[in-house]
Amino acid sequence: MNMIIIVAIIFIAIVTSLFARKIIHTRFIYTILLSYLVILIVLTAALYVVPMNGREPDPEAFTRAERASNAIYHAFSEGKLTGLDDVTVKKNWKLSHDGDVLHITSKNHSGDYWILVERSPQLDGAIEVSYYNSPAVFRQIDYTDLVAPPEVTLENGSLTLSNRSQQKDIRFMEFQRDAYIEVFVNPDKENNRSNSFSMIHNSGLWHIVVPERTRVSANLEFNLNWMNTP
Amino acid sequence: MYLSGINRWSLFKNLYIYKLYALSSVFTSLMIVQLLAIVFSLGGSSRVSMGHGSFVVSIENYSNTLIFLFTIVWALFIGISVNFKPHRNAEFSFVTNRLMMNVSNIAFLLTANVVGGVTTGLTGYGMRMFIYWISVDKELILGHTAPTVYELFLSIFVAILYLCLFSAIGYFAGTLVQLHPIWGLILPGMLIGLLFIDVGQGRGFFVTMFQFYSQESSLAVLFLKILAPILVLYPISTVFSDRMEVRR
Repeated sequence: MNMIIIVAIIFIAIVTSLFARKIIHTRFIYTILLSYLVILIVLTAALYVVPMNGREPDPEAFTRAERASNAIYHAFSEGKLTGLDDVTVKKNWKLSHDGDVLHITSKNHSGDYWILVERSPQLDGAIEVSYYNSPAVFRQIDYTDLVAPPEVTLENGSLTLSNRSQQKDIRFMEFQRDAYIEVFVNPDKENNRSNSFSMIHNSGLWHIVVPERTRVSANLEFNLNWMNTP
Repeated sequence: MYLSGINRWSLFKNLYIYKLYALSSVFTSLMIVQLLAIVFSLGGSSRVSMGHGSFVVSIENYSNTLIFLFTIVWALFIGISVNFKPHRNAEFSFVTNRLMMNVSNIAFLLTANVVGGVTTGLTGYGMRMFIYWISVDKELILGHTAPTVYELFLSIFVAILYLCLFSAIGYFAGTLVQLHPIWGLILPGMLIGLLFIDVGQGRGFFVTMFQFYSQESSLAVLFLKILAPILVLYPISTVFSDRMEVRR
C-alpha cells in the first residue's frame, strides 16, 4: 500500500511538473501558490485565535483513579461511605416499593457489582438507589462524564441493575507534535503520554437504602454488604 | 565561451528568474502532493483503542508525518527534474556556462525547498483547524493542538533542512544520469541493493541513516549533518556537469 502511494506521488509530481505549465500560465501558478500560502497562514493563525473545546490531559488522573477505586473497595468492605474524595455520585433513583422483600438481579452483567445496603427507619414505601463511580481514565484523559450511568428498574419486588446498554463508543482525537521536531522539543520520550497506554476502568459502588422492615436478597454475582450505621 | 563582457550577477539573476518561470510547475506539483497528503491524513495517522465491556474508548491521532514524507519525495523529484532535457536545453538560449547554470539550478532548488518547508510546516498546523471543524463526533484532546511559535518555526526550519538534503541528493542523481544514461539503471539497482544490506541485524543502510538524522537532538549538529552532504553533492554535481558537452 505504501509503495502504491509513493508511486502515485511520483507519478503526479512528474505529470504536473512536466505538463502543468503548458496548461496553466506561470503567473496563475504563482497566484495559486500565494493563495495556498495565505489559506495556510490563516488556518494556522486560527489555531491561536479560535477557541477550541476539548479536554487537557492530566498526568495525575491515573493515580487519582487508582486511589478512588481502592477507596470504593474499602468503603464497601468497611460498610461506610467515607473517604470517597475522588468518587462521584453518577445518578440517584427513588423508586416506589411496598413489599417486604427486595431481590436484586442484573441485566447485561459484566464485572463486579459492589452493593452497600442501608436500612433506614425514615424510609417507607420506597427505596433509594445511588450509583457512585471512580474516574475512568485512558492515557491521562478522564472521560468519566462521558460514560453513561447504568439503568435501574424495579418490578414485582425485583430490582434490576443493568449496565449501560445505550453507551456509545467514546471517540477522542489528538494532534501529534511533528515527528521530525519531537527530538528537539521533547528528547525525554519516555515521559511522553503518547507512549502511555495506561487505562483504568471506573469502579462502581451501589448504595441502596431500603425501609427497615425490608429483607434483601441478591444473585450470586453481587458482592453485598450492609452499611455500618452508628 | 567567455563571460568577460557579461556581469555574472546579472547573468545569474536572469537564469534564476528564467527558472522561476520555466520550472514554476514544481510548485503546482508541491500543492497537489500536499493536498493529496492532507486527504490521506484526514483518516488519522494512528489509533489507540481499548475495550470497556460494552463500549470502546479510542483516540485517533493526527500528524503531518505523511505531508512531510510526501514533500520529501517531491523534493527528491524536483532535484532530479531540473536536469530534465527540456529544461536543460532551453537554457542554451542564454549566454551562459555550466557553472552559472548549476548555480542558478541550486538557487532555484533552495527557493523551492524554502517554499516547500514553509508550506509543510503550515499545512501540518492548518490541517488541524480543518480536522477540528469536520470531526463532530470526536472530542478533542488539547495539548499539542496549538504549537508554540518556537515549535512552528522549528518545524518549518527542520523541514527546509531535510528538503534541501533530499533535493541535493536528487540533483546529484539527475546529474549522474545526465552524465551517462547507464546511471539510470545503476542508481535504482543500488537503492534496491542498499535496502537489503545488513537488514537482518537491523543495521540496514537506510535504518542507520534514518537513525543518524532523526535521533539527533541538537539542532546545530543536525544542521551540520545536513549541510555537509549538501556541500559535497552540489559541487560534485557541478564538476561532473562541467565535463559534459554542450547539449548533451
